Amino acid sequence: MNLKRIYASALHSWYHLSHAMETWIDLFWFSLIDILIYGFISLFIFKDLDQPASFLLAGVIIWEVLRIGQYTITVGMLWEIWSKSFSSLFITPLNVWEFIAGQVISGILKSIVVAVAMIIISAALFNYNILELGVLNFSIYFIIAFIFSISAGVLVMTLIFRFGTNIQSLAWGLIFLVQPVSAIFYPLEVLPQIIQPIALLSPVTHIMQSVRSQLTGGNVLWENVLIGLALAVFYLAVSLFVARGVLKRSKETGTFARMAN
Amino acid sequence: MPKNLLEVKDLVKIYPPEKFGEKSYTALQGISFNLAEGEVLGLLGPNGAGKTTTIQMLLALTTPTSGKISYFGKDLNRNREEVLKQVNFASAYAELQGKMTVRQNLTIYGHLYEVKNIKQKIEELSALLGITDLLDKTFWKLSSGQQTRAILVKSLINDPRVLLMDEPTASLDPDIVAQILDLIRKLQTERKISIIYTSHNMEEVTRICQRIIFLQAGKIVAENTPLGLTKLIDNTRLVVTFSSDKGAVLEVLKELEIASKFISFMSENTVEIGIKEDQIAYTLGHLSSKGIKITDVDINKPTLEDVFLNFAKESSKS
Repeated sequence: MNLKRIYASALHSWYHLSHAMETWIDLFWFSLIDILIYGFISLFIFKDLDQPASFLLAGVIIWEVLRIGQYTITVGMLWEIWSKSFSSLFITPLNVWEFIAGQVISGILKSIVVAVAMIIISAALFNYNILELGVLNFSIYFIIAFIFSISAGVLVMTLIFRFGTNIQSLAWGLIFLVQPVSAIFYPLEVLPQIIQPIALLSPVTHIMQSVRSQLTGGNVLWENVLIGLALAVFYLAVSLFVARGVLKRSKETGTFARMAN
Repeated sequence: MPKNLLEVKDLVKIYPPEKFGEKSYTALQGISFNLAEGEVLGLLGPNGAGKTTTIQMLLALTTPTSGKISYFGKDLNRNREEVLKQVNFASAYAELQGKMTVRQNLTIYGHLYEVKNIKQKIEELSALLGITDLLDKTFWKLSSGQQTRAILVKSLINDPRVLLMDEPTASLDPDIVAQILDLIRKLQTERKISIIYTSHNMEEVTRICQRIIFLQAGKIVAENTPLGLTKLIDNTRLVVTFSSDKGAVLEVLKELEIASKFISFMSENTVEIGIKEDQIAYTLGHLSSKGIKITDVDINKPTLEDVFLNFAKESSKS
């Protein structure tokens, strides 16, 4: 891994963002619309609570961190394929891991910007400040969600390396498979018994349990946080391992080179 | 004797089946060639001959099944990063990021190749290829000719010792092609870059390349200078216009002991004869000595295109 090339990959993402209105809409527009919709729904449904918007908005903010991280890695690569610049990039000394590392840096910055904007809106319009969970605690939740987002991004990228761009819509859609079973907007117990063991496999379920504990006046559930972190790191390791194998195979089958055309 | 910058030895590529029930496909059957310092080598062949696979493997985008690719004496597979720093690629099909400006694109590639003083390099190369005024324009808004120039600047940003060019002038107007070819020749002469060049335009290849490799069904079937290749096929056409009787001309031609298998009357006073070059003078002399009044002579030598068509025909037969 070469730091200069990782920097180039991150810079590439920034330059691209500065011109791509589609990315602005995908990242910032939808996030801000979500916070408004969930905020107003909360005001209507949970009007009897002290902080009616807290449960849903905490979930939306954590979820958007996850979505933006995954989106940045996967769509960052897709833009190169769509522009037919994929081969121009990968005939340089740049390798796929350096490219991903650059996109991860870009994803972190984008997630921070979006999270800050959402925090400001939720505080200003819905009287809820997620940082009341504690800046350090929120940062830990943010980091776990982001690590999980990298593994989701790498997974989608791996599927594209394997099956080509026919499955590119997964770049937007796959992460939403995780959403209903991650107990983001509701407690784990709400899910059917048969789904609950599956939900426990998602790192987000564990960090959201801790978030909800804090929102109801309890403490950080450190055990859940640690399980969430361990799961996120495990999925990241697995996704990178699988990606390595699929990448090697795609260079043997010619799929990698064909993505340039 | 110039040293070899690239050595390809016994390169084989068998694409494994991607889906159940598919068969593996052999794209290259063990090709070997070298590229000398400062040389421009053409890589030609009909569709499916293995050109693209070869280029992809030379750029480490595809893994060879067996064989070895060495640049500057170093194995590409083991020294990918170090080797690719000194290699670059230009193709009409490998573009720059369309959403970004040309300058932003070039800056990124400058960083990827760890170029020192990127700004100065971009200015210098842009001036050389005449795109200084395009640097702050978005890449996809440029015309095809402008995009090709921008891609060429990208391909030179790391001062490559070896440059691979895959149809860099595809879909360009002839006047732009002529300009681009002049630029490539200038770059090759001034910077001593070794170039591998593929194109479907045989005239272009003849102008640019010092040596040509012909690929057919994954094998090298011919390797020579452009002139040498045209001598491999026996189809110089001698077109003779005469004022004598057509029947008399035919009789005289039949008497000739030439290797011609092809005699065709294009009109009552014009005949086309397929002939070897060294038999032209003898044939014309013989016609005159037999009283045939020759009023005009045209000699159509075989071109690289004829060679290409000849190999392509053989390829389709096999």
